[in-house]
Amino acid sequence: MAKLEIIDLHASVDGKEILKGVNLSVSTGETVALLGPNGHGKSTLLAVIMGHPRYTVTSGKILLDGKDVLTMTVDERSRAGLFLGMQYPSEVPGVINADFLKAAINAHREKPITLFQFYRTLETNSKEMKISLDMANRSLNEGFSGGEKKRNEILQMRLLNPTFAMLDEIDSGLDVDALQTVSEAIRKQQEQETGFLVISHYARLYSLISPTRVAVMVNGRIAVEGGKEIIDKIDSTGFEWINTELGISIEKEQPDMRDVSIGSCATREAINSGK
Amino acid sequence: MENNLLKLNGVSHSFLQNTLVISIGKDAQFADRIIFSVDEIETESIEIICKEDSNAKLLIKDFNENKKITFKIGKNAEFALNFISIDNVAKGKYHFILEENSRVVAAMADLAKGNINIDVLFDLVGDYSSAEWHLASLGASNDNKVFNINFNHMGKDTNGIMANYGVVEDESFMHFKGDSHIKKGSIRSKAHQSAKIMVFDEKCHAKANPILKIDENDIEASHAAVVGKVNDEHMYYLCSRGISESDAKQLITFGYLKPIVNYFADKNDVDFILNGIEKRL
Repeated sequence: MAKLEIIDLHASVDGKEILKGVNLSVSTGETVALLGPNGHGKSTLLAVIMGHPRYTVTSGKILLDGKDVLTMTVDERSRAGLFLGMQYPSEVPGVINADFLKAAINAHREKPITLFQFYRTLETNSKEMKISLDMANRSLNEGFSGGEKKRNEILQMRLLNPTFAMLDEIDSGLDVDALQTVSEAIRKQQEQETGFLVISHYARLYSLISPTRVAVMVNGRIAVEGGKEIIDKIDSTGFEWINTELGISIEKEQPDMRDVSIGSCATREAINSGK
Repeated sequence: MENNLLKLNGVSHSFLQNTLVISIGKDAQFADRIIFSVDEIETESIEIICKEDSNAKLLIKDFNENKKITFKIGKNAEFALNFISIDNVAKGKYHFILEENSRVVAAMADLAKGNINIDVLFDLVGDYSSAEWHLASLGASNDNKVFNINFNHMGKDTNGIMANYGVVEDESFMHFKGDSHIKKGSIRSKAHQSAKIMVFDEKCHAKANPILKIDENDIEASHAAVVGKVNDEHMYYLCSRGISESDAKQLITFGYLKPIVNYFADKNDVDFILNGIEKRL
């Protein structure tokens, strides 16, 4: 059994601290649901674990089976068994999806996959994800619909068979049928004993993939951990109980003035945001 | 290499002072691309005349000598010119003169090691004449590559497209320059310029400064010049799937240069270019 441990993790972006002492661990075979209000560090946590260059880890540890993840490059983290299904996967013009998938598979193997094996694997998994094989010949994520991008993320997860998969709002932009397809693929991956850390705002996805544990992130820390009943509570009453029952005041997201667009009143935005 | 062009039915040639004049006859149609070896020609300059309603595709692979080649494209003629600069470094001055309703599509795949200084000029003289120039170039080690691509719009309703894509690595230098000039009277003409160079290493450098000159009102023009490093998000995304930084760089470069093969009709040429890119990477 492998373990992913996050110990007192602090991280910042552009000098602003987002993660303020995160403690969380996930074992293989477990599926941890990560919930929390917008802007409280859920996506940042996943990006920091994967090694996004925009974030700076100021203190703390991330251990994968005792090995220091923070000293690894992004590609080393993937080869060590981590996977991140992104909320906004990059569109990379010119790079053909099939070439990319093959390079990714080969990066995880000692001996390169044969062309025949690759197409057979791709065909089986594309069918499972209800993705047309034509998509393999298109530029990576370019012109893909929101749903196609998310299914392409899950296709990559299936092809790479990671030890730990982190999924960041993988259900956003999916219609009912696509959500079924994606959750079916996640369930199959769960059978491989992959450990999951899954962010979603909707109880629907969680009801389809049955998390074993729930963690709620507030103010850049894990405020509470527990069972599936927390999901139902948040789904029906929101996050206010964290304040009333646990005494943790939820910090409000401060909109960046760069978000103000022409057409809105900059003065009013400034007053409302308190800047 | 044999100069197939000079042996074809419908093609004649003669010498005029220090110029070889090759004439593709009126209405002559050539479905397959014809290989033209510039280095085998002894004269300093070459003139290729595509007469009215002719249609030909030419491939130039050997152009080590600095020759001047003029292409005169007759009324309604269609002419495609492919350059492959892989084993031989592209050299020369290329001047296209287009008559009414004629069309030229020129594409260069440059993966050669060495220095390049190429001048290309399209004179869109006839009304409704149209010219496209597409380039994919890779500079590495100490390569110094300068591409000077110019368009003169003189006729009405003319169309000029320039699309240059470059990648520089190591300590190489690349420069995309040239003017697209819409002259007075060339109404309803269209001039589009796109020059993009991806910079990979700290010691290489690149410049992209094509210029639009417009002396007419009723026209359409666009201009894009970009020099920049690889998008960090793209690199992160590829690396997050286990692909090493150098392999990710190769995938991106390959994807950036590969679309040039869309302008090469012959499968052998396409394979040759793709192998050339892979070899260089």
